[in-house]
Amino acid sequence: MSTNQLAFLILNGLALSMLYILIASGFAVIFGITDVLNFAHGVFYMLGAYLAFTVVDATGSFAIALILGPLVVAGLGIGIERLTLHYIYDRSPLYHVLITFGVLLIVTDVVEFVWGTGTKFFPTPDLLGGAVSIGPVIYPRYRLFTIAAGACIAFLTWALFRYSDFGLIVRGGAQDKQTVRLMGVNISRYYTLIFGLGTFLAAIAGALAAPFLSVNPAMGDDALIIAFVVVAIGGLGSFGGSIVAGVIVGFIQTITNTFASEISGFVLYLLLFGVLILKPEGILGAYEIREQAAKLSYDRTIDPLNLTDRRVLVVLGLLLLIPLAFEGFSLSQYGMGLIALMFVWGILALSLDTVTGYTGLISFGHAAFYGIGSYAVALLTVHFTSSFVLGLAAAVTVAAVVAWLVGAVSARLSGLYFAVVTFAVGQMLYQLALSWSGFTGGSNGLAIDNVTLLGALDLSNTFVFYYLALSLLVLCYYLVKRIMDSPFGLQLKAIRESERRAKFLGYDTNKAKRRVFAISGAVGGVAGALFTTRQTFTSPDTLYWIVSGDALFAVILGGVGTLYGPIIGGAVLLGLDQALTIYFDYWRLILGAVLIFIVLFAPRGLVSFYYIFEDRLGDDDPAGGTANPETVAPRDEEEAVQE
Amino acid sequence: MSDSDWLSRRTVLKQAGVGAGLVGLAGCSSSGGDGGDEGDSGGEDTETEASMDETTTTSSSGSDDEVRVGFLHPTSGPFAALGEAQQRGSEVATAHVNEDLGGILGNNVRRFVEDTEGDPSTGREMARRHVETNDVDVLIGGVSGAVNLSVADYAYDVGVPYFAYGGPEEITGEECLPTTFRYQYSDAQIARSGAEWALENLGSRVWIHIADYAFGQSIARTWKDAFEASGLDYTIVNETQTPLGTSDYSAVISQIQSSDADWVLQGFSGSDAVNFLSQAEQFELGQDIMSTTNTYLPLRQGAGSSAVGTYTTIRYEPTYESEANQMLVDRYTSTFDEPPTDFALVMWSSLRLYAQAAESAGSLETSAVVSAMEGLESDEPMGSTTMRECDHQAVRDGFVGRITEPDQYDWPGQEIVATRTADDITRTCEETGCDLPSL
Repeated sequence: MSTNQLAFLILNGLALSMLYILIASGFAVIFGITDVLNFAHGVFYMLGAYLAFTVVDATGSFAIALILGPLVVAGLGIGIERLTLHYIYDRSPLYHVLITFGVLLIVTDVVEFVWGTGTKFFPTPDLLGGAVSIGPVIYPRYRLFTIAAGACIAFLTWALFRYSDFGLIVRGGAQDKQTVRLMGVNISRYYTLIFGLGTFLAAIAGALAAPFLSVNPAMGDDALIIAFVVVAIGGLGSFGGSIVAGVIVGFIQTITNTFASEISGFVLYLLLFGVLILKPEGILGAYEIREQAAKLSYDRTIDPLNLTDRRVLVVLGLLLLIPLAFEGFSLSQYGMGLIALMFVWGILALSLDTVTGYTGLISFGHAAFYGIGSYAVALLTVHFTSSFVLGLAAAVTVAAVVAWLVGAVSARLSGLYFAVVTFAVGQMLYQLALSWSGFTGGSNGLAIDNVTLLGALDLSNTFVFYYLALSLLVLCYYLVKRIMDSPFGLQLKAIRESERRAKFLGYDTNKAKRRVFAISGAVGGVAGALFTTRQTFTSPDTLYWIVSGDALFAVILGGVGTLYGPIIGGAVLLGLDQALTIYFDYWRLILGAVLIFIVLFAPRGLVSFYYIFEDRLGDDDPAGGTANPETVAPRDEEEAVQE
Repeated sequence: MSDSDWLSRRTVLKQAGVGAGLVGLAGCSSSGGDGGDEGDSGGEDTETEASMDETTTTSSSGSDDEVRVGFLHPTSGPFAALGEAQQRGSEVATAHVNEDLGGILGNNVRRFVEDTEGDPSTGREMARRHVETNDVDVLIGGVSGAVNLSVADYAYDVGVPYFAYGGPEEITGEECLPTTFRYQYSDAQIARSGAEWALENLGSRVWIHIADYAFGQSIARTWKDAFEASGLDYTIVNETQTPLGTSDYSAVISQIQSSDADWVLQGFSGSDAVNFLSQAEQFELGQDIMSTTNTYLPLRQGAGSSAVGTYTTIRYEPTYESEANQMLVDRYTSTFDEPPTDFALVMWSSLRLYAQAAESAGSLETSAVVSAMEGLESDEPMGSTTMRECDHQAVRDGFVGRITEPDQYDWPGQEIVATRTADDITRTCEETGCDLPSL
């Protein structure tokens, strides 16, 4: 290697490291103190870049943009925190994740509405333009500036936490909220400030990155993934760890980009797995999962409905009749196909509920199993057979095996690490599907011939597919409910309520978690298999993390931990999605608002409306007036939900 | 469940409510689904208001006396900027056919638009919506190759003609279909437009850098074929790739900087290209950059001054002199107050080609239109075009250009530096590997 190359390598590595540290620091600050995994981090970063763009456009001054933009974003962050997160810090992190996911949906659409969807040209500030000689090489001035600026900001943030009273209090609060309260400190105000600081850092990173990374609505996705990986490698909750991890990841990424560019898309994930297997708590994480904060528990249990329940039978009967009623209309195929896809989403949400609702593990990577199921059917059809039964068997098997493996690696990690690992698995498979085009068809996806059932029934026929999807939905629900009613299911609930106590009772909780994750993966595979059968097509988008987010959304929307609620949620979400796209360009904004509303005011989802109405109306008919008439649930008055 | 046998008037009412609600849901989807059904005029109006941008002012009364065209534009998602450009094109194209050509077979063209979100599954679903609920006679559009391939496959299944926008050579190559036509250049045509010129004018030592996904891989493949086909001496100094969506190009730029390559082939578009170009400018990269995408207006707007001086194959240039182009420019600028783009051109010419084929077939029936389309010749804005019978690829001249300083607008312009004949840039029928299945 020439000195020339070495000099470039060091400078590029430094610049990338500083960028990663900048991106990750806001995320690390918020997580370290408040335990909130801020999925909106990427959009705050993006918003910082856009505001800087606008300020530069108006004033011509990059310096003003660098201060003003982030201040506005910090104000926005504080506003959002005061309106939403502020009230639910004591709830499961699942709800924090969903609130910030809702913010992500809303801010993305607002940005697209205000600034358009195209990439914006952000001119390099004049003073920092061009390149200068550094030793043997010529290097861009702006990059040298970001190296310096990144180091400054990281140092100042670290010093703030290390040496100021503010830092002392929030560090204390992170360790023990109660004690800090006893000392007479209103810790919740500090939480608000921390959220403001985190969004400020995100926005300043965006503004600094804008002149050499383009400004567009997708830039936030990248930043979010980087922040996730850097913070997880460094050790969740350790700010120093994020800095060390930023440097390591930045240099390894640069070396890979230079010498092995074929795998540069996988570096982040491979590093993450490597670290988590060797040192699950991260490089500098001496961090203990705060049991209280990480668990998902309910004020009340809403039991899943039996299939033989009369109300379920009536719904099923009507669903069976719909296609026959449609017969008269020549153009109703689309509507029928849509309902069949609702069943598919119902299955996906059901699969996630077994893990998240029953066991309390937040999976943010369920797209992985959906995508695996989807690709299993597609690849089998392309290469071997168009039999649906074989395709389904392959989908279920592969998804279950991968899920078991993911469980084996991550089940011992509690709480949020599980969300991080599942997220990374999903994204890695997405990247793999994208890059390995010889096998997966790459971003073009795979178009397949029609899949047949038992060699005779053509499943591209909407009518046939409808009944197939419905029967698989019923079958999955039946099986999952049986499993959840078994002693194994009770064990899972015990894990959700307190893993430690379940362990005391002699249960191997890791084994149970691996198993339930495999079951969940298998059911997710069924959904993916059906999706490909319907579309006769699949693409890497089935593995994208937004699918995972939507699946969690569906679970919460319907009613987490009730098995039938998520099915309703999945169906409603898909219906909303399809209906809103017809009328609004910015329909994701509406979905985001719905999500935040549900999390804040109806955390048990649509099924809880049933109780609310029942409470209000007494003996009156509640079903006719609810947002979702399918919502039916046990009606013992004394169990009425107290939200 | 213990209370499942507890039956009262209330339960019965609840069940009735559930039933009514569910039928209501179904009814809702079916009235949306029946938008095009003549019997359901109320539903039709809503559908019209909502999902299409009607350019005709005359109201239509049924599907018999109008030609229904389904456009697919990714107006949200990663290709949203390009989708919007396409959408403006399809609006102008529809107005042109209705007002300048008198419609198709004497009937008005009615335009329906659906959003593919740039996602192949959604694209296919939206094509389905077009066919099943909008009852369209032809499908046009899509941006990414992935969406084009998935829609083409669906259009063949249901026997509806489809005009693709994307460039993958398999669309009119190994995966060619009787219902699929492409006015847009194939990636192979683009490569042959640029490769020989670049070897002659920029030098024989080339560095290929692509984004590692279908489009980038296709560029690397087609350009290497084109280098070979040119018969000139060339050396590929290195071939590198970054994942799609990469934001930091410092490693590869510094490698190129210290190599002895004469020029770089840039195999990506969108924000990847904007990042690459602006970082290459900051690094003061000494090598010339040749691309197939810097001609795109959204890219030039995004990359600004950093695109100036790079080379590109040109897909559309508003100042190109032809009568047909003048018509497009006049119509487009009077509607949108900005110059047309390649996205508009392809919508414009695709609809025009369809109109001409339908006229000569005397019917909208797919097999009649398809055979009228084969061998169809037409004067289009960027010169005369023949729809080749063997692969359904439009055969037309190719152009090489250079990105220039902004002059009329805020963003950089482009100038044509070379024109290549249609025969020079198009693969022979045998080379394409296309074997059209029967309709």
